[in-house]
Amino acid sequence: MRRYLGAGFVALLVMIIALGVYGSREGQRMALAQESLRDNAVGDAAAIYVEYCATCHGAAGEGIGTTPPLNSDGLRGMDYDTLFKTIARGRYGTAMVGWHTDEGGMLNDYQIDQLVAMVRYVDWPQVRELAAQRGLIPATLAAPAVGQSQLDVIAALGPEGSAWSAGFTTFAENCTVCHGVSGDGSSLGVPLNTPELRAKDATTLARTITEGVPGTMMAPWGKTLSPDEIASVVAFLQHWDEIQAAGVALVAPVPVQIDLGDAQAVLNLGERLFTSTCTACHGEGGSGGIGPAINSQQFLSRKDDAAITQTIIAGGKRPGSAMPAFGDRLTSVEIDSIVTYIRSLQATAPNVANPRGTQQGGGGPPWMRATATPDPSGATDPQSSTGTGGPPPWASGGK
Amino acid sequence: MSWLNAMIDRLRYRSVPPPEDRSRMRAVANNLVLHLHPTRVPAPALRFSRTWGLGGISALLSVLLIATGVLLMFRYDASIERAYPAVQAMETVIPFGSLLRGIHHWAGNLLMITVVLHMVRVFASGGFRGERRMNWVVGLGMLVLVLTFNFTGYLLPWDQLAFWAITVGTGLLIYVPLVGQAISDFLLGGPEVAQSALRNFYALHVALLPVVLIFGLSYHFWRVRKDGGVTIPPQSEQVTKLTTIPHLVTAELGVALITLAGLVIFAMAVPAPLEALANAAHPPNPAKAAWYFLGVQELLMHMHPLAALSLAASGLLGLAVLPLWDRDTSDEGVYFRSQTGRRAGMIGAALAIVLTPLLVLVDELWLDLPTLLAPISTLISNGLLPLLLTLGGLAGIYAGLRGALRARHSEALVGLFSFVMVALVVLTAVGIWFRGPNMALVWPF
Repeated sequence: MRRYLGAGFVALLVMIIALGVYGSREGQRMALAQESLRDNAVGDAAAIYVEYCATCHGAAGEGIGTTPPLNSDGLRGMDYDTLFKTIARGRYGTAMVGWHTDEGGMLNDYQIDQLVAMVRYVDWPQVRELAAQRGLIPATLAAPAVGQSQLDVIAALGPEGSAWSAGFTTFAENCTVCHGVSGDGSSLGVPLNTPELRAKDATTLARTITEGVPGTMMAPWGKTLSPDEIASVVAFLQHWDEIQAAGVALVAPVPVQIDLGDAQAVLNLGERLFTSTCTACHGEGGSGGIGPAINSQQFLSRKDDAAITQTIIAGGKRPGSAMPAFGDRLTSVEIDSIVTYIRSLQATAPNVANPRGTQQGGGGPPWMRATATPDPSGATDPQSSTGTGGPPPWASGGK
Repeated sequence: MSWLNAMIDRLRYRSVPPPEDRSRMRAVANNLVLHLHPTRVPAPALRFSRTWGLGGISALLSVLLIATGVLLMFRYDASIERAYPAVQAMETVIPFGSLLRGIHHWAGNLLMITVVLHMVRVFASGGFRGERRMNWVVGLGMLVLVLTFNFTGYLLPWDQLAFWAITVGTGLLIYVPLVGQAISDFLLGGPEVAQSALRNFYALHVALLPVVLIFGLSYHFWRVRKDGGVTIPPQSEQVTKLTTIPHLVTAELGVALITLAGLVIFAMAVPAPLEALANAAHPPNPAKAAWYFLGVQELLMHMHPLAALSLAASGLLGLAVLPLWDRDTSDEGVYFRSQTGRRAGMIGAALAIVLTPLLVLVDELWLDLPTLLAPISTLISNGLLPLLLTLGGLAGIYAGLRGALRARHSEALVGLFSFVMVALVVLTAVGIWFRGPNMALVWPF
C-alpha cells in the first residue's frame, strides 16, 4: 500500500512545481489573453461599425457632413461610461440616436462594449480592413451612387438643370441617410419629396438647411455646405417631381456581407469591383484602354498574382504610369478578390494585337505618349473614376 | 528500507512505537469522514483490480467540483448580459481564473467517464445483486444526476457551444410523450433558451443538484459499507482482515493525489473552451449536443425521435431492473461471472464494434425505410420498425449466446450488456468525430 502513497506524494510534488511555474507565468498569460480579447472585440466592432455607424461617421471615422469625426485623441481618452452611454442612449438634439435594444436600437450591451473598445483602441484606417476580414465588404458606403448619365438627364431638363444636378449630387452625398434615397423620410428625418415642401419658397428652405431645426436631428448645415451648395439643394428639392418623372432615381447602398470561404462569392465581388474600379482605364472586361489589356494572354501569362497585387496596392512602377495606388482605398480582401477575378480570365483570354495601353508607350498617338502625368479625371469617364478628387474615397468604391 | 518506514511512521505519529491496531480502528470509528469505512477490510478487497479506484476517483472529483464551483460562483453572474463577460473576465483578468475554470470543466467531463466506468466495473464483478441491489439503483440515480449536472453546467458560459448544445438537447425533450413539453417549459421557463433558462439552469446547477448529490453520495457510501463492501470472489481459506489505517487510507490518498495532480496539470495545458457569445440568429453547422448525448443524437439520425428516446429509456430501465433480472449470486465477485461469461462479453463487444458502424452506414447511404414503405406512417416505418428491429436484434444476441455458448442467464446478460455499452461508445464516437456540416457523415482524418 505504501507504493500508492509514494507515487501520490511524487505526483503532489510535480503538481506543486507545475503550479509554481504556472503561477509565475500567470501575469503574462493574462496580459496576452486580454490583448487577444481586445483584438477580437475591435474586429467584431469594426464589422458592426461598417454596418451601422459608417454611414454617418465615415468609413474611417473621419465624420461626414455635420457628424463629428471619431478618430480623435480626445475621444480615445474619454471614459468608458460616457462613450457607452452616448452609443447606448444617443445624444439629445443631434442625429445620434440610442443604439441599445432598450432604446429601440439594435445593439446589445456586449456589442456596445466592443464599439467602445474600438473607439478607444482602434487604428482607424484599419477599420475597413478589419470589417472586410469578417466578410463585411463596404463596397458602397454612405452615399448612393450618382451616375454621369443621370446628371446629364437632369441638366437637360431645363435652363437651370445644371443647378438641379449639382443639388442632386449634394443631396445624395449628405441628406439620404436621414431623408431616404427617394425622399420618403425615415425614423430620422421628415419626407422631402412632397408637394407641401415644394410649395414652400426657396428662402424658407434655404434657411432651414442653413440653420437646422432646433430640437430635432436636423443639424445646421451652414457650417458644412456653402451657400451655393445649399441653394442648389433647394433648387433640386423644388423640382424633384420633374426629375423623378424623367426617370432619375437614387439607389440606397447596402454593405454586403459575403462568405469569404465561398469561391464564387469572392469571384463575383472581384468582378463587381473590377467593373466599378478598373474598367475606366483597362476597358470593359479588361479589354484595354488607357491601361494595358488585362484580359489578354500576353498580360496574364507574364504577371503572377503577387505582381498584380503589388501593382494594385502601390500603383504602376513605370515612370509616368497612370495607374494609381489603391492600397489605401481598397482592403486586402477586396484586392485579393480583384486578383482572383483577373486570374479567372486567363482560361478564356484572347491574344490581343496591342496589349499595352496607350499610357504604356505601346500604342496611341505620340502626343498621348509624351504626357508624363496625365490627368486621370480628364482622361477617364468621371462616372467611374476611382476617387480622383471630389467625394471622399469611401464613396467611390462601387457603382 | 526499514529506516524509511520508521521515518514515515515518525512523521505520521507523534510517538513511537506506532499505535496498536485497536487504537487505529478506534480512530476510524471516531472520525466523521473515515467512519464511512469499516474499521477493518478483507485483504482481497484491497487489491487495486477489485475497484480500479473508480468510485473513489468519482468521489474525489465531486469534492473538487464543489470546491472549484464555489470559487467560480464568486465571479459568475447568471444573466445573459453578464454571464459571458464574467467568463471572459475569468479568462483574462482574474488570477488563476482560467485554471479554476479548466479544472472545473475537465473534472466535470472526467466524472462523466469515471461514473460510467464505475458502473461497468460493478456490473462486471456482479456487485448489483442480493443486498447490494438497492445501492445499484441509487448509483444509477447518481449517474443520471451527474448527467444532469453536466447538462445544466454546459449552458452557464453562455457561448455559442453552450447555447446550441442546450437548444438541441432540450429540443429532444419535446418528443417525450405527454410530459415532454411541460418538462421543457419548466426547465427553460419559456419557449426558448433565454434569460429564464439560464437562471433556472444556474439554480439547478448550484443549489438543488449539489444538495441531492451530497445526500445521495453519503447514502451511497453508507450502503456500500452496510451491504458488505467491495465484492470479492468466494475464498477457499479464511480471509485475513487488515485495519483501514493504514492499508486502505494510504491507497486512497495515493490515488487521490495522482488523480488531482493529473487533472490540475491537464487543466493547465488545455484551458476550458470558450466560443463566441451566444447568438440565437447564427446556429453553428453542425449544431451538436454535449458529447455525452451524442450517442442518443446519433440514434436520432436513424429513427424517429420517439423511437430513439424509447430505446434510451429501455436501456436505462434495463439497468434499473437488472438486480431483479439477474438474481444468481453464486458467482459474486468473479469478473464476468466465469470463463463463459468473459467469452460472451468479448463476443458482445466484437459484434457491437462490427455491427454498429455497419448499420450506421447502411441506414445512412442505402436503406431508406420511410420511402421504401411510403404508404405507412413514418411513425411506424421510421419509428416502431427500427425500434422493434433493434430490440429484436438484442434479443437475438441474447438467445444466440444462450444457445451457441451454452451460457447461463447471467453470463448471456454480460454479453448483452457489453454489446449495448460498446454500441453506445461507437455511436458516441460517430457523433463526435464522424458528423460534419448538416450532420452528414465525414471522414475526419
